[in-house]
Order: sequence, then C-alpha cells, then structure tokens
Amino acid sequence: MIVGGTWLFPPGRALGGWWRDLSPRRPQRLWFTHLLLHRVEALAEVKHAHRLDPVQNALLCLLAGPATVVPEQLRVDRQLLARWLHALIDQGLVRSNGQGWEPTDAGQTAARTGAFTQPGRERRTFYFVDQREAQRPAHFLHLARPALPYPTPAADWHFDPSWLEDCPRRPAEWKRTHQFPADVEAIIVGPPDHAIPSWREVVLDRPEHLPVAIVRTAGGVQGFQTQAEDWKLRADEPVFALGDDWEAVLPDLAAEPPPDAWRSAWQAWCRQRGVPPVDADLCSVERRDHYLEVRAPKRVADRLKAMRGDGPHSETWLLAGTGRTRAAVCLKVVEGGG
Amino acid sequence: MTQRERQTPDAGSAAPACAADPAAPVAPPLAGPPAAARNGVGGLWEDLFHRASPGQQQDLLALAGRQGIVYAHQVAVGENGNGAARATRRTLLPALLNGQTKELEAVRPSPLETVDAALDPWQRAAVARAVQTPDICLIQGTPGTGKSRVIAEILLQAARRGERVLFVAPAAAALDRVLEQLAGNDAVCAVRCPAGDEVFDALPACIRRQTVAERQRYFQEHTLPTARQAADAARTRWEETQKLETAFAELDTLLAANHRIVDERTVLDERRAGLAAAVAAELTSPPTDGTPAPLAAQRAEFARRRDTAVVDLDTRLTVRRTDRDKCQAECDRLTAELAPLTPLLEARQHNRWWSGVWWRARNEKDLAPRVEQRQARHQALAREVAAVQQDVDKLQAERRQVDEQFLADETRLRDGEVTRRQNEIDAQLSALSAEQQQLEVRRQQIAPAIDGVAQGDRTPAALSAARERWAERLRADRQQHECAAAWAGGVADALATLPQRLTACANVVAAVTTALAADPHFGDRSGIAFDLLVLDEAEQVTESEFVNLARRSSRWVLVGQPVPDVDGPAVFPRRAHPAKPLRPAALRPGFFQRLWNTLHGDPRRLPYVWAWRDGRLSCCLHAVPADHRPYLETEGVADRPEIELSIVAPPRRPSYLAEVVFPAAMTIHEAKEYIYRELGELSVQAHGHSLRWSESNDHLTLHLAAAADAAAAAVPVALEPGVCELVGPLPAARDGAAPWHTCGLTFERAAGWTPDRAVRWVETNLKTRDLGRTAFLATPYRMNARLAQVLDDLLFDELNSLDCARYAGLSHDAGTAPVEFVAVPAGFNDIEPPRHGEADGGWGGVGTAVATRPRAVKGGAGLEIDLADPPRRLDPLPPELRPLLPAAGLVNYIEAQAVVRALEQLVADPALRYAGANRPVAPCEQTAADGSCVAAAGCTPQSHCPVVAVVALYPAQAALLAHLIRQNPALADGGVRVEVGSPTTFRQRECLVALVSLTRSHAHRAVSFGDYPQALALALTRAAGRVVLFGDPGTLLRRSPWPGEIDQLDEADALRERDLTGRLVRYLQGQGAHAHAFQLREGNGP
Repeated sequence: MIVGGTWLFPPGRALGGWWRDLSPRRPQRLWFTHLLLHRVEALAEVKHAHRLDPVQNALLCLLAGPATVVPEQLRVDRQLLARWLHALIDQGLVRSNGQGWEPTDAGQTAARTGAFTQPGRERRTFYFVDQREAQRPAHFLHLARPALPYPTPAADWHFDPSWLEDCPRRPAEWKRTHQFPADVEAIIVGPPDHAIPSWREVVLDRPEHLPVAIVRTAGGVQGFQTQAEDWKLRADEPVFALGDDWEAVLPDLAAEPPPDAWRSAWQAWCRQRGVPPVDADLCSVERRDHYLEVRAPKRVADRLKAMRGDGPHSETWLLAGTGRTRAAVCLKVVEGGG
Repeated sequence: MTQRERQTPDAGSAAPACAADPAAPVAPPLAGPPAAARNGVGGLWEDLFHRASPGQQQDLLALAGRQGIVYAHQVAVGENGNGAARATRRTLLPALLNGQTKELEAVRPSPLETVDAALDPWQRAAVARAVQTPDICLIQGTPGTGKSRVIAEILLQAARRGERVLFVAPAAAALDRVLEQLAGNDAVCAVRCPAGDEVFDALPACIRRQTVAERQRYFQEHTLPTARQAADAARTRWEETQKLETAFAELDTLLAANHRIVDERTVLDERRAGLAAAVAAELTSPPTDGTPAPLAAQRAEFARRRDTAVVDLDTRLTVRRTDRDKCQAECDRLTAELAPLTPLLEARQHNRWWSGVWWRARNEKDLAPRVEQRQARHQALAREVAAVQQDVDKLQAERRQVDEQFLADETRLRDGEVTRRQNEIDAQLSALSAEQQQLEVRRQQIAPAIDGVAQGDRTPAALSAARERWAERLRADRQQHECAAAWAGGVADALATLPQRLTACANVVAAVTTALAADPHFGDRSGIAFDLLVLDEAEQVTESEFVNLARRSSRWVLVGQPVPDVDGPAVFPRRAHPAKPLRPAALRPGFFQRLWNTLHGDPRRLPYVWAWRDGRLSCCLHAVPADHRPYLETEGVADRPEIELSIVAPPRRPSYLAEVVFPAAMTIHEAKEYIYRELGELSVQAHGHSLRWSESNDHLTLHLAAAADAAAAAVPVALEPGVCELVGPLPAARDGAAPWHTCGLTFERAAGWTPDRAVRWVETNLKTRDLGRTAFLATPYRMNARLAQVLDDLLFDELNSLDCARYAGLSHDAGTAPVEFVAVPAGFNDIEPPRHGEADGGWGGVGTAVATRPRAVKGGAGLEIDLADPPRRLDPLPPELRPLLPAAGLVNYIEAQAVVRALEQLVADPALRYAGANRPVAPCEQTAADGSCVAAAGCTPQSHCPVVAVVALYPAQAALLAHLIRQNPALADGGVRVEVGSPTTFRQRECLVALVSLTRSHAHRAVSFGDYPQALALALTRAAGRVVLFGDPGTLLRRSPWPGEIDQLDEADALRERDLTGRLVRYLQGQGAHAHAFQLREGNGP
C-alpha cells in the first residue's frame, strides 16, 4: 500500500505474528515486499485436454463403430440427439459425410481413449514480476490469487510483449517449475509493423502490486498475501511458490542488505524506543539466519532487557533494507562486546 | 495464474493434451453457451473495449498498433473490469423503463438469411433486429400479422447461433403456438416447462414431448430398451461369429484329412498301377540276407520242380536220342548195304539178263536172302527208330509241358499275387472314399455358416480367404458389440442425469411467466443464465414481471400487440379525479407500449400536419394547446406577405411558430422547400409505422411509408445538396388533410452522403431516430383486408385509409360486410347518430367533440341471467336447462337462441361450406410427416382451426350455446366444423367466421364485457373472414361513456374497454371509419 507516495511496511509486531503463523512451514528467513506486477492479457493459442462426457463418448463410439448409425433406429429424442451431435461437431470429433455423421480422426482417437484435445484461441491473463530496478526483463509468476491495481506506475513502466511471447517456447521443465500454463502453446501479439490489430489480439498490461510476506523454506520460497489495511496474513495458502531458482524471479531477495543496513535498522529501532544513540552505537549487530544478534555491553543489555512492552524479547522483529523489499529479522540481544 | 484458471479451478491443472488424463476436465456435453462465456471469461480488455464507443475502439486499436501493447493506466479502465458491462446493463433497463434512450446507440442489424422463406421483408427485418440486438428489441403487430411465426424464426436463428433462449409468455397457448412450429427442427432443443395448473395429459402431444418429464419417459421407455436390445443383438451376433472359430478349426482338420486321403489315394492308385511289375520284380528278386521273398521262394519251388523234371526228361531224351541215333545209324548202314544189292536183286527178279547187273547178281550168292535179311533188319530198325523218335518226341513234349507248367505256375502265382494286392488296395481306396464322403458330409454341415466356403471351393486358399473374412467380421462384430454396449451404458447413465443434461442441452426454454420461477429445472433457483429472453404477449405482462424475467438474460426481445395508452389521449374523456388511482405502472400491463413509445421511431409521431385551410395549404409546425389559443397571432412574411405565419406568444413564455399558411397557388413541393430553406424545419408528415433504411449504389433512402414501393411514385423535393424529401400522393385522406405524405428521404452517395452522415442528419433534422431496436409487423395475414381495417380501427385506433398499402395483396371480400352486429333484442333504431355539434351529455363529465352518445338511450334489455341467482318466474331460461349449466355465471338465453339461428343459416350456406373446405389454413402443427396427426385420433388440420367459432365472453354462456347447438338437429351434422368456447379457448387459433356472443344485457347499469380485460379483443380477432357480434345495443350504449372502473376491471382496463365499446357504438351509429364494412342487423327479441 502506498500512502502519500511512500510504501507502507508492517510493524514488528505483525512480522512476529506472521512468523508464528508460518512456523508450521519451517521458515528459514522472512522478507516483506511490495511486488510490482504486470497483469498482462493477451490472446493465446491453447490446447485443452478434455475427457469425453460418457454419453457423448458412447455416441462417438457408436458412430465410430462399423455399423451405419440410423438416428431413427436409436429412438433417441431427435432434438436431444441433434444437440449431442452438434456438440461433437463443435469439438471437431464428428463431421457430416452427406448421408450421416462419421467421426473425424480426432473423433476416432477420442472414441478409443475417451479424451480429446481441443485447440483454440482465448484471451488469458498472465502475471509478470517487474524487474526494471534490476534491469532485467519481467519474469513470469504464477499467482494463485489476483493482485491489486497499481494506479500510479512510474513513467518508465514498460512491458515488452516478447517476454510473454517467449514463455510458451521455453522448455517444459521451466514451465513446470514456474507453473506456466501447460495448455498455452503460443501467444499472439498482433500483426507486425504496427498494423492495427484485431481487438482480440491486443495485449493489455495493467500495473498491479501485491504486498506479500515471503519466507524461505527448504524447498524454495513461498509468498503469502497480506492486507496492508490491518497487516493480516493469508497464511493458509501461499499466493505463489517458487523452487530453487527463486532468485531469478525475486532478485531483490537474493541481495543481502549490507551490514550498515542492519545497523541502521537497529539504530532506528532504538531511536523509536528511546534508547540513547550512544548506547545503540555501543552494540554490534550481526545477522544469523533470521536473527539479528545484538551484542551489547552488560549495562546496555540490562537496560534493554529491563524495557517493557516494546523491549527486545523473543518475538521482536524489525525490517532492514531500502526500497520495496525488506528483510525481516528477529532481535536477539546478547551480552558482550561493546 | 491465468484469468481462465481463476474462473474454472479445474482447468488450472490442465495437462497438455494427453489421451486419458483422468485429471482432464470433462468436456461439457455442449459447447458452452455464450452466456456462460460472457459471465466468466471476460477480461479487462474485453470489458474496456466493448464499453468504448466505435471511435474510442478505433483509437484503442491504433494505440495498440503503435505501441504493440496497451497499458491500462493509459486509458480509463474501471476498478474491476469484470462486471462493468454487467453493471452498465443493469442500469440500462431502468433507464429504458424510465424513457431514457440518450445513452443508447443505434444499431444497424445486417440482413439475415431466414429459414422460413415465406416471411415478408418486415418480418425478416424484425427477426434480424431481434437476433442481433445488443440489449433489447420490441416487435409489435396486430393480431394475425405473423408474430408467432416471427418468434419461431427468432428462436431458430438464436438456437443456430448457439444461444440459449428463454421463451416466456403469460399464456401457454402462445408458447405452444410457437413451439409447434419448431417441433420438427433439429436445431432447436426446446423444453416446455408446464405450469402448475396445467393438466399434463391435456397438452398437445407435440408440446408434451417437449417437457422434461415426457422426454425422460421417452428416454426410459424407448431409448434405453432400444439401446439394450441393440447391445444384446450385437453381443449375440458377436458370439455367433466367435463360435465359427471352432468350425474353422474343424474345417482345417477336415481339409487336412481330405488332403491325406487324396494323397493316400494317389499313392494307392500308383501302387495299383505298378502292381504287375512290382510282383514280377518281386518274383525274381534275389533273396535278402539269404532269405528269399515268399513270392520268389514259391516261384523258386516251381522252378526247382521244373528243373528236376527237365533234367529227368533231358536224360531220358538223351538216351532215347542216342538209341535213335544208333538205330538210325544201323538203319543207314543197312540202307547203304542194301543200296547195291537192291538193284541186283531187282535185276535178277526181273530177269534182266541183258543187263550186267543181272549177270553180277548171278555171281552173288544168296543174294535174295541176304537182301531180305537185311531189309527185314532195316525195317526193324526203321521201326525202332520211329519208336525211339516217338519217345524222343514224347519226352520233348513232356519237357515243353514242364516248361509250360512252370510258366503257368509262375503266371498263376504272379496274377494271384497281383489280384490279392489289388484287392487290398481297392479295399483301402474304398475306405478312403468312405472317409472322404464322411468328411464332405461334415463339411457341408459346417460350411454354410461361413461365407465363401459353402460355394464348393475346398482349397486352403479359399479357406484362408474365408478365415480372413471371418476374422474381419469377428473384429467388426466385436467392435459393434463394444460400441452398442457402450451406447447402452451411456444411455443408462444418461437416464439418471437426463434432467440435468436437458437443462444443459436445451437451447429454448419455454414457460409461462407465472410458472418459470418455480420450475424445478429452470426456475430462479437454477441460476441458469440465458442469452436471449423472448417475451410473447408482452402487452399482458406487468413491468415487475418483466423486470424479474429480465434478470435471467442479457438481451430481451418483447413481442406483443399495440395497446392503446390509457395515459394518452382517448376516445372518451377521463375523469379528472378517479375514484381509485390507477395501479402503479409496474403492477399493471402497459410497460410494453411505454417501452415501444420510448424506443420506436414512429414517423406518425412527428408534429407536422399539412392541411387544406380555405383552399390554402397550411403546415402546422406545433400543436397549439387550448390555453395558448388566445395568444395566437397571424402575420405575413416580410418579403412574401402572401405567406402567413401563425405565432403563439404566451405571456412569460417564449413565443413559437405554430403554423404557416401558403397562398393557394403554391404547391406542396414549393411549400416544403420554403419551410426547410427559410425556417430550417423538416416538415415531414408520414404515415408509416417505422423508419427503415435501404441502400442502393447511388442512394441511401429512409423509408417513412408503410408500403415498400411508395417512394417509387413520389416526387422529390430538394432540401439541400444530395438530400431530397420524397412526397407522394395519398390514396385517401381524412377530411381536411392534405392528400400528400412524405414517403421517404433520399441521400445521394455522389454528394458525399454516407450512412453515418445520413443517420446523423436525420437525427438532427427529423428529431427522431431509428434505434434499430423495434420492428412493426404491419401486414395482417389472418384476416381479409376489410375485416382487418375495421378491427384495426376498433381495437388499435388505426385509421388505415392512409395506409392501404398494408392491406395490399390481402383478400378483399367485397360482398358481405366482414363485421356484423346482430342486435338482441331488436330495437336498434333507437341508436341514432348524434346531431351535428352535439356533445356527449352522459356521465363522462367534460365533453369533447370526439365523444358521442346517442340522444335516446333506453338502457339494456335485461336479458342476461346470473345463474347464481335463484330462478325467477319470468326467467326466459327453460328450467330444464339449468341443471345442464354451471351453477354460476352469466347467460343470455335469448341471445344464445339468436346465435344458434344465425349459425343454422351460416352452416346451410353453401358458400361457407365451400370456403371452409377449401380454406387455406396452415397445416396442423401436430401433423406428422406422414400426414397423420399425432395429437389425437381423427384430428385434421381443420380441427385445430374450426370453420366457425362460436365465442361467448362468459363460460356459462359458452356452455349454454354448446348445449343448444348439440340439441339442434340442423347443426348436428352440418358438415362444417363448429367449435364453441370462451375467448381463451381460441387463443392463438383462428377460424373463418366468428360468432361472438357479448352476453351482457343489463337493464339499468353499465357493465363490463368479458371475464378479463382482453376477452372481447381476443374474441374479435380470431376470424379470418367475418365476425358476427351478438349483443344488446342498449347495454353497449350504457357501457361506452362510463369513465371509471367497472365490475372486475380496474380503471386502466375499464378505460381500454370503454374505448373499444365506444368505437363499436360509433359503428352501430354508422359513424365508424369503415362503416361500409359494418352491418347492423336485427336479432329476435324475447
């Protein structure tokens, strides 16, 4: 969520709650990011696999059989039979031979297997993660739920239709990994040379954004949609899940915040809670897994432990980093150093 | 995730095309209707694009062409594109019902190829508009103009487009009339939802077949058993074919055995042929391993015996030959000794002394004895030689005999052996023959079951070919068995889910308005969306009913009759303060006409009126209200004072030009040019019902006349470059009206007029536009022209003297008046036309020049009887009839008698019989292809459309009439089909002649006519040729001026009925617009 042109980030209390909610998934790290997405609508060539309806399958078998089918002999309601036949014709499984109907080659196959594929063109929606900041092409992301409109994109907001066009041509392994729809065989991006496309061929890109908590688990990363209004997390089901190559999709996560960022985050946390900057500066910080280990002199440590409410306890979380993506860590104060 | 996946979760895991992927979604039994598609798949772009105007659409496409992509933030997109269109649609209907059409863009439907080739151009246009409407289309037509036929075509066209149509009407008869026409069309899968009060078995067969219950019953009782029988037959055939496998195996065995036999026979034959040689060889064969063959041994024995005998004989022969030779030698020696002695002896014996021999014989001593001795010896030896020779010969013969015996033995031995062996072989051959015969018998038993084997070809190749054919047949039979079994299984599965399948399959769902909501399959709870709603008899549906129905579909087609607007001007004045306010508009029928008025560009509503005034042509530009008349001023045009302008200048209001009066010498064309040029007014007065555009290579023409060819006879009036108004003559005009009308407007393409520009010009100048959402069916096909004209005038206030083209081509019976009124009782002389200038003096209050009322009104005759009342002493109804009639209801016995008498005359009329027999009625819609009627035994086309319909406005009167007609011997077998009933009985049906019994005859108060508002109109519009009304003129006269609600009619319905009765009274008074087609006759009194 953006307020006054500034991205809003969740408070530490919300982060702690998310960590608890996500603990069954054995998270190793936690990030929060405002994903910028291209919601791209385009005309796609698709091939749907269908199982035949039992009655249609039976009818198709009958037509595929050696005997000539005389509709009157079936004693089926004529109009009903005609509808069933026309459905098969529409699916390309049956054709008229002038004297009656006969299965097409696809129909013969469908009669044997009980399934058929139906090619077609339809407009589909795809989501791509915007990676302009990383100066990389937007990357396809399979979202389980829609994102939110992002009405004020930057002036350089851009999407190259060829990025989408390339996706169906990628290896099957890539499609499987990234859950690119397997039935999409090609993308039609309109006529060349700036000719006027037909309305169905137009590619539409709507900027959208998704406030999401991302956790790294043993198998990759998972994103969970959040509500910026109350920072509630939809922890029941990830809005996306990525495998080992998640860094290609979310390069911001791969970049570890510099040590200064951790220190700045620590100092900001201290500042917000009235800890003297001198005391904060006396501490050394180091990230260990999802912890930010703060080594504080005993005096400072005692003072921090003596803080109530917002004091650093086992579930005190803070965000570090700049930009739309922040790394979340849990504060852990230990005596020593200084 | 893709948009599609979000809407259909199952599709998200759709794998690439794989044959039997169980996860693959089951294909819908039918291609998804567009409604579903629109509800689900529409994306941002789709909504955005379709909401944009054509110009915006072009801009968007151009942007997409330039950028290769459209960014949503570059264009205005709703917060959530999905549903925006639906939201727009949601607001459309209220706006239309409120008369707002500004946001509505005109549509230009393209011509359609209709299945019903007999549709006229107007009907085709109506179909095209209905099918292609993006939101709403209204079709209006008077009774008999082919509305049902048009609806049938609309349903068919929509079904062919893959759309699902909800077809609704307030009455089942309207539904059934259309469904009957579609019953034989495979493109339509119609489901008729029976209403709760409908008797299922009473439905016509072709309609009953279209209900879910009947389809399910048929499926269960016919389809499933047939499928199972076919499966059983296929299985039996397959099993029979399978059994042939053993036959083939046996045939193989038989064939092999036969071959063995043949081989054996060959061998035996060969052996038999070589037996002699073989035996001969065997006789002389050397012993093997020292053991001679038996045959050879036997022969050797024969040889040994021969050799022994031969040796003995040879020995003896040698001895005897030696003996013989010795004797022969002695004999020869004696012979030699005798040789010299014999001549000596002979010489001595013959004393041939002269010879020397004699002399030598003399010297021999004992010559004679010696010769004799020697001769004796010689003879003895000769005898011995002969004897020995005999022995030798005998021995030689014996020897030969021994050889011969040997040979004979050998031959006997050989021949015996040969014979024995031949017998053996023959026995074997016989056995083989017997075996072969048995094989053939068995083969003959098997072979007939196998194609190509019974023909006698016993070769392996033939059997192999037959086996291949059998294998092929076996495969085919197995496949057929599997297919038939699969079909039977599928049918059995389908039976359980047939209602659901029908729900999915049906592309036309027909229901009465009151029954749809509760229908178990298609009711409101089903949530099924339709692509098109077709509402028939929309004029009888309330707005709230329509709004409820409209939710089920995204597009609506409303079909109905024109309804005189009770809120508009009427024949009679309204009461200023009705006793009861009208029901809210939403709760009474009438929204259809309101919508029609909103959407229909009716040229007749243009304000311009051309008229003759004192021999001068005038053009009324604006109607002047009565309160403005005092402010009417007339002045001449400054530069042309002969042209007068009538200007209304009301106080505190802007003045306006009301009328222009032209000099007598000015023609209509000059006048029109002048008005357009000087005043900028397009003074069109047209009499067509609709605006209709047509295009040619040179022109675009907007037709404003009803007749399609009216523009051809018109004279063009040039308005501006390329634009002409076509002014044509009127065949007839009302009093004072100018005898011209505007037939159309033409736009020359050469002058740069395009369709869009012409449409805009018309909208600007004519201030009306054709939204492309209405169609008027002008031509009444049911009735003859004169009857149609009268009824149009009576029911729809259509004064068609200006519109004769509508009736062109219709039959025009110039004989009997098409509408008759039989006054019961007599006394119609009291009905007099009003005196000139006399206003209505009745109960109406404010009088008008239109309203008329006879001066002398006696009131009704009081002939009607309420059966609920106890019988009175002077009741004209015979007491014996009472038990035969309903316990309650209105009857008019006197009127009924008049009807029966008229019917007697009618039925006796040979002309009617002939016309009835040869009436070109539509074929019975329930007639099967073979001509038989599937509805009921004995049904004929005429039975659905009687020749004479006796229509009583009240069921009790109908029952009385039916009884009287049954009792009448003249009518019992009149040869003309007569049907009696109330108006509802004849809904959506037609007859040649209608006898309408109005029934009401009240003595002292105004009464309504009919149980429900449309009863009288329905009764009047059933006849194709003639309507005979029976009624009490006095009661009609009392009814016509009554301004308020009456009986069961609310004020709106009462007003409509009053308008109708008022016009009827005018005809009774000889004042109707088509009085020549109306005849008043006197019935019998009590």
